Amino acid sequence: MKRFAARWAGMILLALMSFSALAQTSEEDMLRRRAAEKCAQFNNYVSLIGKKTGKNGKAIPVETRMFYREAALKLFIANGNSYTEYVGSEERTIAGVMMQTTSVNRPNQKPKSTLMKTYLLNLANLRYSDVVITSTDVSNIKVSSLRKIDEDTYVCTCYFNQTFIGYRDGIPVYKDRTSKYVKCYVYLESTEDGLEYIIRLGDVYATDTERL
Amino acid sequence: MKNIRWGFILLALTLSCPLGQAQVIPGGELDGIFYKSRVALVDEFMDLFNFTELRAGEDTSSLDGKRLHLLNLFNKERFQSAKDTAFLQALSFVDRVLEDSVHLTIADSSWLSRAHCVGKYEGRDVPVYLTLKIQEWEPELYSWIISKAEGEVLTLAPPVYSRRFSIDPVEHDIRFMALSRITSSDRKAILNYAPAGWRPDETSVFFSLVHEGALTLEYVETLEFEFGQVPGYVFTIRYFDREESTNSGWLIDEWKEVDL
Repeated sequence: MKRFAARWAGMILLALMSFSALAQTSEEDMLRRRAAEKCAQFNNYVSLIGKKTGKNGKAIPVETRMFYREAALKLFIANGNSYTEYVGSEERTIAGVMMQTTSVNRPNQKPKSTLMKTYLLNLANLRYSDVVITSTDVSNIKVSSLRKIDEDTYVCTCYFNQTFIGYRDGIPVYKDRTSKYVKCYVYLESTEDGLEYIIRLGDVYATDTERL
Repeated sequence: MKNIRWGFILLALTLSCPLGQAQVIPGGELDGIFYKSRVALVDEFMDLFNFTELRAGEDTSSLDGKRLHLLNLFNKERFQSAKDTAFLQALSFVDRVLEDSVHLTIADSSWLSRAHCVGKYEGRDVPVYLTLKIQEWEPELYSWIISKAEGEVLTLAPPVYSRRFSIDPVEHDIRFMALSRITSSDRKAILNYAPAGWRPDETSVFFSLVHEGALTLEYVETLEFEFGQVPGYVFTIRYFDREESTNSGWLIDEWKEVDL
């Protein structure tokens, strides 16, 4: 029991020392890389959600795409849903994660803001015979510095590009390239395995350039 | 003059034909030279400015190497030739940065953001210009704050300034009954009832209108950042979304000398 308590105390002390020294390069670099990996995970799901045809040429059921949608939403704060927090005695509702898209081809047009839940649902239901989405490799995702916003909470921004090609009967009919900025939250949380850094994705700002 | 010409030639070479890769390769827009050289994040701009990040193949061991590195952070469309006043001024600016070892940090109070926003007021789109600055709440804990707001809708300008809108000199005898009317049916002309020449503080009006739910901000149309850390200069960066170019992202688009 003593050894167990000592191990827990040691882990807590180590985590606190690590977090208080977040400004040190190696710790911050590790967390920034993890944020990039979380974005890469999201990008992987996005390509799976859009994909309509498997390698064998068979149609991928919508239920499969919805499964990946649910998995993708779990990467976001509150699973992409709105949530309530208390600031003193005041109740405050935080809207679900949003995606705002502006078009480079139509700069005077109002940006389109959509709940991430809705964006992914729309992606799964696009009327193309197939959709191919490719993204910047995780090693090339750009990540800003981590900035403290609260006790044990930090934020950073990840940037990457994504290309989208929509096919009808094997012929590409639409293509665009999107630049995406994703806000990432880094929390220190108490889990079953002790204190851990948790990464969650937040709002996304995107600019798209239509090609076809 | 010879050095300046050489610097411009090198700059032009660097910006138009980067690092020997003259054609776009498949997937290049995701991971290639144009993606990597885009200054996508403001943090990235600061790291490049501070020399804590270098572009692939750059050699900043010499003074000219350092100059070129900083010149690559400018919007090259501002330069026409080696004799161009803008280019010569940029060189002076760059030399000042190097002489004073200027270092940009988020914590500096001498940088700010200007956001041209589109707001919604009484069902119509209205422009609102916000100036935001970084405030440090405690060590290493920062947030943006709105330090200034400007816009026609915030001036509360009446449709007309006229003596017809006035509180009669005997109104006090009937306990200023007119106040009810001027704050309801005459509310748009309320500034007529202020002291001559008095104008409201637009920032205070902004906070009041938002607090009352009368004004919302829909989106940011354009964004720029202004820096005052270089002694004797103020410079502005703007975002340039250029495809197939190594001169894209957050770039210095304006720089001017100021009195110290």
